[in-house]
Parts: sequence; structure tokens; C-alpha cells
Amino acid sequence: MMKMHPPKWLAWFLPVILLTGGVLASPTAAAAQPADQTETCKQCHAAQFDTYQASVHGQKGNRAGPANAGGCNACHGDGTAHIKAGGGKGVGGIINPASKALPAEAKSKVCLSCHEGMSRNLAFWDSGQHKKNDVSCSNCHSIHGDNSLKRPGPSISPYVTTGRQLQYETCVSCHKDIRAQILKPSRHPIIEGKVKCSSCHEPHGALSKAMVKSESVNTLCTSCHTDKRGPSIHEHPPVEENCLACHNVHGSPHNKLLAQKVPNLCQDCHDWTRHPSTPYGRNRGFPAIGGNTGAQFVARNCLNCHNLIHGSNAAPSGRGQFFTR
Amino acid sequence: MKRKLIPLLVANLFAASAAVAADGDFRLSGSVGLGLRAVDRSGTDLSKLNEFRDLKNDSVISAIDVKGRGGATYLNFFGENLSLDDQYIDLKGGQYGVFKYRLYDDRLRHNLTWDARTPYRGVGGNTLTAIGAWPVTNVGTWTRFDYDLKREDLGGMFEFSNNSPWYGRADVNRVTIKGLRPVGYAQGSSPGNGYVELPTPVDYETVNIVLEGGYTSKRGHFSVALTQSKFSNGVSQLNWQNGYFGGGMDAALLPPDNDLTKISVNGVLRQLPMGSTLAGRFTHSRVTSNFTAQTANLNSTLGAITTTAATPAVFDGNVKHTSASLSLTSNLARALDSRIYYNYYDKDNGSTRIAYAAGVGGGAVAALAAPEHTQSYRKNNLGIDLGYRVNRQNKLSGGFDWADTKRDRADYNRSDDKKLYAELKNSSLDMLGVRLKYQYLERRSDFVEPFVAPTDVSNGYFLYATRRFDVASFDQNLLRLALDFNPAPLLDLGFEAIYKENKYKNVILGRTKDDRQEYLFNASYGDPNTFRVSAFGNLEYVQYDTIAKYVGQATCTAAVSCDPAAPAVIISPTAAAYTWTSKKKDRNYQVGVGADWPVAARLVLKASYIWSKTEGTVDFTAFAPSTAANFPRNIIAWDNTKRDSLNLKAVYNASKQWELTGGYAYERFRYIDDQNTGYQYLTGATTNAQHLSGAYANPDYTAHILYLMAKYKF
Repeated sequence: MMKMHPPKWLAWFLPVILLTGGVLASPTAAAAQPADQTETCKQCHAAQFDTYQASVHGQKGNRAGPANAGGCNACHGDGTAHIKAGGGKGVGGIINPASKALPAEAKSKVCLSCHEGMSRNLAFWDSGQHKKNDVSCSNCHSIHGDNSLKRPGPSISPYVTTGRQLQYETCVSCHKDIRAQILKPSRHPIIEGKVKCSSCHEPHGALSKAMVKSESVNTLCTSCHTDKRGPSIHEHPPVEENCLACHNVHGSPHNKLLAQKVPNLCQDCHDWTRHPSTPYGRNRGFPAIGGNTGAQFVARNCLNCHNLIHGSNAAPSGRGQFFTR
Repeated sequence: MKRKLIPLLVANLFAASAAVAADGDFRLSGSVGLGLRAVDRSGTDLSKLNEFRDLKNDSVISAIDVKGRGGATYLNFFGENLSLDDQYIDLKGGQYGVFKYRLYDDRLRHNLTWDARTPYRGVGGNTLTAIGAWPVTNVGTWTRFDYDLKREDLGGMFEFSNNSPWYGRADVNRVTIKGLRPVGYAQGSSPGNGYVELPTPVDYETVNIVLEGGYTSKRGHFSVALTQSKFSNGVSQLNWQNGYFGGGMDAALLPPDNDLTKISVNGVLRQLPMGSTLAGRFTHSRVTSNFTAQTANLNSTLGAITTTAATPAVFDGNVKHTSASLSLTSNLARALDSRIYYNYYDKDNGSTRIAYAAGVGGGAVAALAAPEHTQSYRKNNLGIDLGYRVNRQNKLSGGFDWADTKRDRADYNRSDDKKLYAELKNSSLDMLGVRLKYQYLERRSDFVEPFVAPTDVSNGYFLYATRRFDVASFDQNLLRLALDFNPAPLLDLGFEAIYKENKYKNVILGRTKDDRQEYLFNASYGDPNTFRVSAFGNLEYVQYDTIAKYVGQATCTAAVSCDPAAPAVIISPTAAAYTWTSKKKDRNYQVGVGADWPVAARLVLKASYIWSKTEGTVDFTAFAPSTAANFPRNIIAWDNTKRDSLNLKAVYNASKQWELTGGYAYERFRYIDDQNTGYQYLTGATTNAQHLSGAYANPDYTAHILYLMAKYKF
């Protein structure tokens, strides 16, 4: 009979896991919850109550949710004084986490008081750029709205075939330069909802630059463009270190999201006798514009022959080292 | 994969159904919509209109949106564009705090070029045979086809935590991409031998499996994730008849299969002294790809094969990536925040280095030694950010970032980056918010001089003189100003200006400078409950400057020098060797306006219009007689585009149950480019003629889109 042995790494890995649980375990919450005054709040704030009740926050079955932690009071604080004073904005110390008067950190603290302990997406919130730049949860999320993400104004977009509310509309309300990029002729299908900002970025915080969801730009890009993962026999140095050397990932007027059009991009690095060093002007176009049809200029220029610039596996007889096969 | 995935998804559904069944309060609400869309389109190649959306036919359009809510369970189902190329189906559900799941199917067809042509038969397969003698001069007889890539992402996720800090999660998805893409192939061994643009088959499948487990509490977080990603290509080689090489069968290698395995460990410790949080991440991954090295190729106008023995015979691709990150954020004082971070990244390329012998048979092929190094690099990055809140209205931030990169690369083997920034945020005036940032980045890279003296006249001088911009030394200045202005209730105005400049150092040949200016405006007015209008405008100017040296013969000599300074000091620059410079300019403009107008309690009108334009030019200066061969004429249309997009929509709530949505959209796209103006599928009348397929050449289109959808709500 075959004996089953647990893998050796389990012997040290399990204690690490158990130790982690011990270190990270939160002390049992002993703080008294304010009484649930939701029924009273509802009398004045009916619209907010309806959205609350329809949301995950309003579900009694959500044991960790506000419905089991004081209802409205869980986020807005004890409403006793507010109710006693007959209501009013900020009256009785009531907290409005979406109020402009409240500092960003205080706003986020309201949400984090629960979500920090239950949402691993917020694990790196403290290390992220949004916290550093005073972006709070309520800048993007609409707690009482129809949708979870805020869209500050009317949608300005070409016709798209999706009826979904698209995430990018929330992001570009601050990242205006990115909106300019993603509407360019060469782009990812972001406005169609097929790629989301959060496909590449972790808006809730990350340790990587630009809060990308991977440890490097290249590993991020090749998580979708898996055919370009290589490894290849003949490699192109800039490809191996940084995709952004050649590509503007948010959008470009030039095909394939290239930062410059080919041959300009290639010739910024490649100079040699004859065709790599030739200046390709308009006179090298098709005869219709008075050109003498430079084979290296028309159509896709360098890429007419050197199409495997991400790496080649061809033998020298196939000119693999020149990325033509 | 399908066999494994389907049972997993079915099991997932059963688990969800059981939980829902146990939830007595569970209620469903939502809507089902059905409608028609008519598209009137004109243009030579309508692929750009359909680039990421299915507007190729008049069609039935659909949308299903179902929400299920119980006391303890929930379910969201959304589906749209059913049976169309851009179909999207998404099912999410779970039991609050106990488990959650997701199943989805997301489809997309990336249309690249329609009605392309090729002088080959067998399009879509792995063997292309010329339809006639080479060159195939009667373009009218060429095979017609479409370049497009059909992508489908089918996957699911299941997470279980059972109201505990511990969780386990599994993500599985399969992405398939099938279709044709344009790939250009040189016919011979020199540019003068011509090239062909071939419909190259794509039959990719990537299966990703991620298993993750961890612990999350207010004190911190710890998780371990294991990833397995397998890429496979159903067509490993494209065989095509090479008209220049005597009509012999040539072979183009397509991306080989590869495997990625990865482990990621994340950890966070909160509630440390001084309000500190310590966060860390460690990742280690390995990408492998193994195949027998190619040793034989068609390589002669007589159609002969050249064999080049490879040592070793099998390529064992093996690249390891290791990264580690640490970040400590603290509140050093009441108004002072800090973040200290360290990132380490190591790419270790341990792939086989293959050496090739000199070619035997066919055309002459020189031996190719194994590269001394494959591309590996190691990066250490250390930085600090400080933020000081002077008072409620003012915040000052600053930071320093240092990165040291060592790489196996012939021209630059080390870079040292130092970045400093300072930022001021001010909101002293209630109606005005100001953000001003300045950043300076200095990169100093160690240039590895080749064994070429500056006075050498040989081709090697190019190696001595060229500074490749991706790793070259440069100074960068970045200035960013953002203003948010609320001069009146319901009125928001915004302005942002960005200036970025890179000046490359010690450049003899290569990119000398690039800069980017962006000006962004936005305005919004109105109450969303009555009428709200928004607008934006963008202007962007980008310029790249380059210096290059043209040498019109294979080998540099004293008379035809590779030294870029030489023509400048010669009274009469030669036509065969001269220095030239180029200024490439892109100017991009956009204006957009949109409005939402609830005309009546039951009727909402929505409108948006975007006008966008891109213009590119290249200005040359050549230090050569204007009669010189290839003396460049300035390029006046370089991916010049204009696009108008009008979008009108009305939503009418006829009753509590019925909603009618109707709309009209107009789009117009125009493209002019000096590379494609007067496009010819065939250039030349000999065996070295270029055979092009029309890829990306004629994307102009005009479209009128009319749609109506009735939605039943329950």
C-alpha cells in the first residue's frame, strides 16, 4: 500500500500560517454599539433609507454589516442629539462621510472602521497613492446612490454597445489626462467596458508604482498578452525591460499604442549604414503623393519586414536575429 | 480545459442555489430588454467602426439585469448583446460573509481590417500557396478576407470565508483568441528583396488558475497566492510560398507555448507605533518555454534550403522574476505623514544560449555565436514621501526616489535614477482648489564604449555614437498645475496643465529631446435632478527630436565617414553620407459636451458629442545637397485623424413595468497618412515586388445608428 506523506514545506509553512493568525488576530471588539435609530432616521431620510435597505449594508443576513451594528449610526454616529434637535446638516454632531467639510482621512476612517478588517482589497490602502493624495472612499463610491460608483456628470462618450455603468467614467473625473488618452484612435477597449481601469490598477492601494496590479509593468502586460511572455532565442532589449519604452498604454494616435509612429520610433535607437539610417520623408511614399515608393516607408515601414520585434526564434538563415521571422 | 471548467462552474452554481433555497426572504427584481438596432454605414473598410463593438449588421439587441436579495444571500445576473460578437454575461452571488462566486463570459472581436487581399490561397490555415506566378500582378484575382481577432474570456471565481478572518479563493479562466492578424515578412535577406504581408493565423489559448488563501483583520493581512498560467498556440508555424526565393516553401515561426508559475506573498501589519503600517510583498515566478531550435530555412532565389546547426539543439527557455517590496507609512507628528519604501526586482534569464554554425546549402549564412548575455536585470529602488499639512487649507508634500538598475546589455549596463518632487495643495479660497507639482528626475547610465575609437571610420562608429533613449542618461523636468474652481452653486470648472521635458545627455546619434504639453479643461453646470451639462477640452502637443547619420553604402570609409560630425565640417557635404535631424510633432485635440435632461417625470434625454483630431508632422533637416539620394521631404500627414461622435438617447418610463429607450448616434472617422495615401497592394513587377494586403490603410467610415429597446421591469 502506498504511503501518503505530506510535502516537506508544509512542516514549516503551517506554523507560519498559524502564527500569522495569532499576530493579526484583532482583539474582540468590546466597544458598545449605539442603539439602532434607523426607524427614526427613515422618517426624514426616506430616500437614503430605501437605498440603504436595498444595499448590502442594509441586509440583516450580512452579519458584519451596519444592519447588525447600529444601522445608520454605524456610519453617521450616534444620532440622539441630532434627532433631539430636530435634524439639520451637521446638527447634533451627525457625521456625513460625503461632506466636503470633513477631511478625507476622516471620511475614509468611517468606511475603514469596518472594511479594513474584512476587505483584503484594502490591505494596501495606507501605502497607496489615493490615500496620500487625500482621496476618500466617498470620492468614488456612492453609498446611497443607485450604483456603487460615482459618475459626477453626464456621460460623454461615443456610442457603445454596453448598458453597464463603466468604471472609467469615475476614474477620469479626476484623471483628466487619461480621458484624453483613452479616446485616441489607438487604445484598449476601455470605453466599451471590455477593459477596466482596475484590470491593470488597484485603486485601493498597491505597493507598485502607479498602483499597478503586478510587480512590474512587463509582468502586468504579459498577464493578458501571454504570447509575448517569451522567452525567445533572440530578444529585443527594451522589450525585456519595459513595455512602456515604446508603448503609451492609455492611448495613442499611432497604431499599436506606439508612442511614436514607425520608423521614427525605431530610428531613435537604430542607426547603421544604408536603410536603418535613411531619412524616410514624404518623397518615399506611394507614387500618388509623388513618392518613389520606398519599400521601407509605405504601409507599416520597418514592420513590413521586422515584425517580430517582441522576440524571435528563427535561425540565422531566417534572420531571426533581425526579427524578420 | 473545458472538461475541467464546466464541472467546476456547475458545482459552483449548485452551491449557490442551495444557499438561495435556504434563504426564505429571497426576492428577485430586475429587467429584461429587447430591441432592434439599425446601422447605416459607409466606408471602404468598416473594421474601425467595428473595432471593439459589433455594428456590422442590423441586429436584435438584448439586456438582462436580475438582482436577487435575501436576508443572507444575494445574486446579480447581467447579460447583454446576447449572440453578438461583444456578448457579455456575468453572474455574481453568494452568502454575505460566508462565500461568494462569480461566473462570466466576456466576448470581444477586435476587427483590424476588413476586405483585405492576399495573393495566396489557404487563408486561415497554416499553409499559404501563391495563387499564380510571382509577382501576382492581377490584384483583382487576390483572395479577399478579414483581419480580426475573436476573443473570449470564460471564467469563474469562488471564495469562502464563513464569517471568519480566514479566506480561501480560487479563480479560473480560459482566454481564447482566434483569427487572423497582418504580419509582414521579408522575402529575401535584404530590404531590396521585397516583402509580403500575410494573413497570419492566431489560435491562442491561455488557461489561468489562481489559488489564494489568507487572513484579514484590522490588525493586518496575510495572504499567499499560487498562479499557474499556461499559454498554448494551436498554430506553431506558418508555411508560405516565397516568390522571391524561387517559389519555395518558407516558414515563419509563431509564438511557442509557454508556462508561468508564480507564488505571491502579501503581508500588512497595522496599529504599529506612530500610527504606522508596515506592508510587504514577495513574488517569485518562472516562465518556461521549450522547443527544438529551428535549423533550416529557405534561403536562396533558387528555392534552396540552408541548414544552420544549432548548439544545443533544444531551446530551454527559463526566466525567473523575483520581487520584494516593503513600505512603512507613519504619522510622525500630528500633521506629518511619511512613507518609506523599498522595492527589489530581479529578472534572471537562464534560457539556453544557442550558437549557430555557418549555413550549409542555399544562400550564404554566417555563423552566429551564442549571445554572451540574455536579457537579465536587477533593480533596487528606495524612496521616501513626506506630507506636511500646514493647516486645513494647505498641504506640502515632497519626496525622493532612487533607483539603481544593473542589466546585461551591450550598450548600457547600469542606470542610476534620482527623482525629487515637491507639491503644494491649497484650498484657502472656498471656491478654488490649487495643486502645483514639480518633479525632477535625473538618470545617469553607464555607457559601455565598444572597441571603436572616436576617430574610427568603420560601421562600428555607430555603436560608439548611438545613445538609445530607453536607457540613456537624461534630465527630466515635470510641472503640473491643477485648478478646481466653483465660482457659483452648481458650477464646477477645472483646468490642468502638464509640461514634461526629457533632455538626453551626451547624444551623438539618437533621440536628443522630447517634450509633452497637455492642457485640459472641464466644466459642469446644473443639478442632476433637473438639468446638467458637462464639457471638456484637451490640447496636447508632443515632440521628439532626433539626430541621425545617413551612410549610403555598406561600409564606412575615410571618404564616406560614419562620424556624424564629418559632413558638418566638410564644405560640400556628400550625398552618400550626411547627418540629418528630425522633429516629430503630434498635436491632439478633443472637445466633448454632454447633457442629461429629465424633461418630465417619465422622460430623460441624454446627449453627448465629441470632436477629436490628431495631427502629426515630421520636419527634417539634412546636412546634404538637396539632390542627395533620399533627401527627405517633410511629412505633412502622420496618422492624421478626425472623429465626430454624436450620441442622443431618450429614456421613457411608460409605466412601472415598462421602459422604452431610443437613440440615434452618428459617427464619422477620417484618416490621412503619408504612408498610406495612394495605397497600392502591389509595388513592382519583378519577384522582389511588395505584396501588401491593405492592413490599416483605409479606415474611413461614416455611420448612422438607430436603436430602440423595450425593457420590462419586475
